[in-house]
Amino acid sequence: MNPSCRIAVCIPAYRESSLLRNTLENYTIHQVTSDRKPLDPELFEINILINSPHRNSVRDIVMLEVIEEFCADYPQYHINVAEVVYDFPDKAVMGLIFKDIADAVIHRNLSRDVTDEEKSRLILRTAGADVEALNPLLLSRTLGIFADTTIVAHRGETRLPPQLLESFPLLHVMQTFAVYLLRQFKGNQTTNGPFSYTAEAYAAVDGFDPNMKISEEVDLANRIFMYSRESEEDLIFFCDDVKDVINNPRRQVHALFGGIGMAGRYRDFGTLQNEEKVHNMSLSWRDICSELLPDSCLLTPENLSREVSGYYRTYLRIAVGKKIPLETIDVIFGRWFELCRITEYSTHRSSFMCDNHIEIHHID
Amino acid sequence: MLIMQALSPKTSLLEQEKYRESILQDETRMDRVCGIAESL
Repeated sequence: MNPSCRIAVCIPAYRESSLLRNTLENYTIHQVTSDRKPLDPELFEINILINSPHRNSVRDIVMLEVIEEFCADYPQYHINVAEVVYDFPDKAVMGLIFKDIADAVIHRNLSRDVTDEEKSRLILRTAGADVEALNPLLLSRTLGIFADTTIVAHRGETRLPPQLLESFPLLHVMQTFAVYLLRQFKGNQTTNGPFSYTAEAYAAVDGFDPNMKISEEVDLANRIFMYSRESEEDLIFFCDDVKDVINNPRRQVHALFGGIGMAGRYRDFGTLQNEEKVHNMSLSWRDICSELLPDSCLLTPENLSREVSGYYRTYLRIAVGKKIPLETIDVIFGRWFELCRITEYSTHRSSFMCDNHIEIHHID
Repeated sequence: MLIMQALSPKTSLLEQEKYRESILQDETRMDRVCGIAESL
């Protein structure tokens, strides 16, 4: 690791050849300082972990070529690549993949020839390869935020492409709802999307949970938040609403177009068939326009009822598991309806979980 | 006071060193993590 490196961006990638170039450009050539000068390439590095979930997975030569081409075009940036073939019996376990690359960065950080204080303040950012756009000030802003040594983690806002949300109102409403639910149940620190944290805080909470198939970042954020809150040092998990990331919306689009529903979009995460369909949406979502939306994707009371009911059952299940009174779920959902000025709806509870649903009668 | 400051999580390496130690004690994990670290 280069001695001046302050931020290590870690990106696991599997079959991301169509999106990786854009992600790399966003993390490098598009990053500027507050006076719009290119950010010094010595201040950060990009680590890519090309992972294959199974022994018989085909090696992604195209993705390697994309990286090689990028490095040839922009040799001033520190782009490091490692390849790992896992042998997951079933779906990929994202917690283990993220843990491996973040742990390797910690190992390299401790071996470099800099002061202990510099090693202690290395910032890690673990992220996906499916970035649509980044705030050009993201990395310089991150450096500025972490100059305050009491800050151990930072999260800005992650959004979906505005041009898509404008032509796909049901997605817009459901994405807002999903973020609202995460905020209500888990707090600002766990809203979806990547975040940055110090290497020391990462190590203090024992890193990523290697058993988590999905939601590994939400879980890590929660533990770093608890660590900051329980510390006697007044450490801070800093959240703000600056738009830092616009993510590729392929998973959400696939969930709505494929009839899976937003609440179930990670149900089949990692299975070959599901990922194939999601990857096919990587670029084709750009063709979506409001006139061509199928009936099941229009913002109607029926479709909104179907989508909200999916989340209702998910959160009822969580409440049962965590022994939270089920009325709490009704209150939180009711508050959202109030915020959206939806007054005509009814909640139907049943002893059979699959029968629980919410019916929205009218959208103003 | 000085000792407390030296051990402050804001500037210490204690957690990372402890964490690396736990990686190195697990042979399977060590092989994989060190392998990735060398490639990077």
